[in-house]
Amino acid sequence: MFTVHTVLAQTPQNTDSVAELTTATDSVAFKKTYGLRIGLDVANVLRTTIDENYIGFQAIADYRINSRWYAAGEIGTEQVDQFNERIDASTSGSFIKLGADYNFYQNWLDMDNMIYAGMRVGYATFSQQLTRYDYYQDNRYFPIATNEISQEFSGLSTIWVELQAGLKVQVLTNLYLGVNVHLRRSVAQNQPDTFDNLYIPGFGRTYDTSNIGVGYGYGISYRIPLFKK
Amino acid sequence: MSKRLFILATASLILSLTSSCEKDDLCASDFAATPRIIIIFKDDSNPLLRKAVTSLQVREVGQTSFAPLNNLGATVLNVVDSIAIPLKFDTAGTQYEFTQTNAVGVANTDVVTFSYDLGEVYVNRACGFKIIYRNLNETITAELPLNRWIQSTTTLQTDVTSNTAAHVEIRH
Repeated sequence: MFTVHTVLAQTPQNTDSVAELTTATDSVAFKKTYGLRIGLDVANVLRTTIDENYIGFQAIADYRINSRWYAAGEIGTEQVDQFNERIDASTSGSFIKLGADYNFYQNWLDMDNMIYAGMRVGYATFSQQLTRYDYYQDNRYFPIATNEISQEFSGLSTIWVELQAGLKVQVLTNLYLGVNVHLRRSVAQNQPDTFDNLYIPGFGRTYDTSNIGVGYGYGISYRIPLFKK
Repeated sequence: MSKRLFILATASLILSLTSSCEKDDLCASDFAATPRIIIIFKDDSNPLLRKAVTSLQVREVGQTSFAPLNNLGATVLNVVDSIAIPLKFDTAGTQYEFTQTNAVGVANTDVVTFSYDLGEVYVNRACGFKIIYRNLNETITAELPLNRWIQSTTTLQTDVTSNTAAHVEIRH
């Protein structure tokens, strides 16, 4: 009943009843808005305001290729100060992630939401500054020395692959809110000879025991409508 | 439907963020600390044989406290034929007094100076860096030969990078 109503509303000039019946099945599919959806990761902004050792910004974007596939990517910068028991260091740099998302969600009518899984290839270029370090001693016969320095390790980079899963919900026309989680695995690292990459922009902190990283995002984005089909 | 999922996903994200104690943040003792110098004591008349020191204390020249001789932190060891003592990491040498106390309670102190080049190695985020020592050599401070209990020293390994083998042999 709803279908018939819509067909009539959309094709009032169609007077041929036979033609109307044959086109009816096509018209059920609502037109999708195509265009570049750009936005901001709110998680980075929130952390920048809360965490005094963090400054970060990340722009997010995707583009609908068809009803299921989206080309997607992120670009951003991060600066993180880390204070450990024996090492203080800060990392700053920028990153880009490119890939695609697959929408599993079956939208009804003119809904435009996503439950998606995606993949990215990420690349970060950054530098690290070692500001303090201690020597690991198994005794205290000689006083533990703290070295306050400022040693720069620049020209560092990392390439990683990333799996994403998340949701995007249209809250207003062309305005979307999204949450997502990431699982990352670094595949190539350019790290200092005498130090380590403690943090990688866009990848997150590193672990000695694995090359896995995790993350999350909280996006708000707007689709610049280009055309419908 | 999707809004409920959205709230659910947000809640689980927040939950996952509150647990973040990583084993990487603790410096586990199985990571190598700055190595100590391992000294073994041999018989001067037959250097193939180990010869225990009746009672041994070691102290840096100028310090009042005695150095730890093993990984338990003991500063006096009786009938001991090997010790592991720390080396200074802010200067390229450590001067140690080796005091042997014999069976009747007579103490004899000899001074051995260890010289080396300092190097540093990154361990990990939690443990920081460690020191390694290269080009090690020892000199015994001159004394009348009759007053010395240490007759000679031999460098077994010039690089002190780990605690897996002896670095110096002291003959007495």
